[in-house]
Amino acid sequence: MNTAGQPDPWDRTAIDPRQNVVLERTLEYRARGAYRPRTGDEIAAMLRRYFDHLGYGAPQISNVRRMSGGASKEQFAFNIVHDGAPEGERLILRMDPPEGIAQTCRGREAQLQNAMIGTLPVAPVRHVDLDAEIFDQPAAILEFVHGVTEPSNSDAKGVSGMGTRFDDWAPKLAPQFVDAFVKVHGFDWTAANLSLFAKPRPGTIDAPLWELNNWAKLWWNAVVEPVPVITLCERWLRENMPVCDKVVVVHSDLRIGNFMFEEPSGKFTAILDWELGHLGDFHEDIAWTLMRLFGNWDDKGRFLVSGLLPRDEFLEQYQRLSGNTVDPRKLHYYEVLNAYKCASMDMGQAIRAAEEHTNHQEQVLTWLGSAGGVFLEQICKLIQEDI
Amino acid sequence: MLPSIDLRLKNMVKAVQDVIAPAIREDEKLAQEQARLLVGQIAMLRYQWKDAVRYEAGSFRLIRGLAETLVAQVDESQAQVLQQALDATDGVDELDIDALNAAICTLGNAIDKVILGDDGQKPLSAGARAAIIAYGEKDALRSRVWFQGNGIDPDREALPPLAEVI
Repeated sequence: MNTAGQPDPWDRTAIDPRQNVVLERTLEYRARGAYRPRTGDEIAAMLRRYFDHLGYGAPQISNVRRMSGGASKEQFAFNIVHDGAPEGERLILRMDPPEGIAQTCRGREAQLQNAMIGTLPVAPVRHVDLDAEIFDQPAAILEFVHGVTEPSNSDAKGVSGMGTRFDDWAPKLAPQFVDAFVKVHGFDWTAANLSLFAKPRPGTIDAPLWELNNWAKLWWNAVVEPVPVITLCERWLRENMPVCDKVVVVHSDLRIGNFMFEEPSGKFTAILDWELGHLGDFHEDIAWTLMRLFGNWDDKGRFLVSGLLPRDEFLEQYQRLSGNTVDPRKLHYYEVLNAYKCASMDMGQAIRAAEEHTNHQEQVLTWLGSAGGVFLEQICKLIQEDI
Repeated sequence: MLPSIDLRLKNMVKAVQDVIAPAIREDEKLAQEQARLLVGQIAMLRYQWKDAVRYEAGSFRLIRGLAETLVAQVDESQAQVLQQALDATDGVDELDIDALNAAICTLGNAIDKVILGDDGQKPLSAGARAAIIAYGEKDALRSRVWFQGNGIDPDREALPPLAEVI
């Protein structure tokens, strides 16, 4: 800490404590060896054990179905009948494989998701097995939400939603998309139960430093083949850290594929994937969703943010509705940080998990890993603007 | 070579598309996605396998060129680290993909040390930064061309042919 109360940007120990636990735990999981995806019967047995532990009377689990989509968690839909709910209901099990493309905490995700109930459509989280006390791996039980992440009639579908075309759906979806950012960043988190989150101090570099240290640790724990541009990027990020003036909830992955809507109304039914969420700078979210990888081109040759609306329109609407003014220098910084995150995930953690066979869908990981060049190109371009 | 690698890869695609995928139940979404990815991965492999050694040799020469450039841009102790890596990877068998990959890692580790400069204790000159960026641009372009079959790159239509960058 220097005299101005700012931490040393090279202090690698300045990291969110809970996130640090998750990263340390990753190394323990890795050492256990290859992972075999669980069968439906094994999942049903684990669920029975869990609901028994919770005190549900005579829980009966049926119709266990593995869900596709997403690049990091194993998800299963299942029916449960028990003494307290003889009519039964359908729920979702969201479980960590030993390693995924990112290493995150189910408890943090649950706290954030539940805090947002009443502010945004989310799937309420009923239970969390934070440190795998009952399940074989950390897990959460969520309520089932109906909807789709891409139009049923779309021909353009991609891994984790990327590449999806919304076409005629865009006018219905775009305003809700912008509104989701406004609501996330306007949320009063001080009154919410976010006990698993460290709170960065406004007016300091806590927020970007903790975030960078998280991703740098992920990278250095995973690296399979050194990538000089990723290392240069880390140095640049430490040398150019901006102060975070206002600390807000940052979803961190609010983009194409992570919102669910109903057909034919187009009404949002859930904002998904809060696993990367944390407290930080709103520029981080804006820079993330502006990334070219998460957008696509329309027939008029315009590049659309998350396949929904042009960049300028997105920024204009967000600023007008949120009251937040986007600072181009901070936006630039977070564009670099986000490209670094993606490169760390795709070229580091994803490849390492695939090499160690510690994931349930390693083909997805190497598929996403093969996109690393896109982020390296972005990093070079962005850093050059500064040199 | 009989049967050829191409033929066997084609047969794998046919087996997945005609036999395996149709046998997957409608509600087994993950299995369906895995089958689609398998077809996609094999298609990428068909595009890549004949040039794989040449591609890795190109990656090796590129990173070796960066290490050579950086030697003149850094202080004596850092130059020594780089020179050791250069000496250790001199004369690597460019037909051996594993040896090439190991050499890339040796050079990359030395370059990483120089870039981090004892966690910011040592400066990194503008010249060194420019050299790393120039290297990175070439490396990124090669990677984007090499993996364009994944369909993820939003600018893949503008990429040059493989022969131009390999």
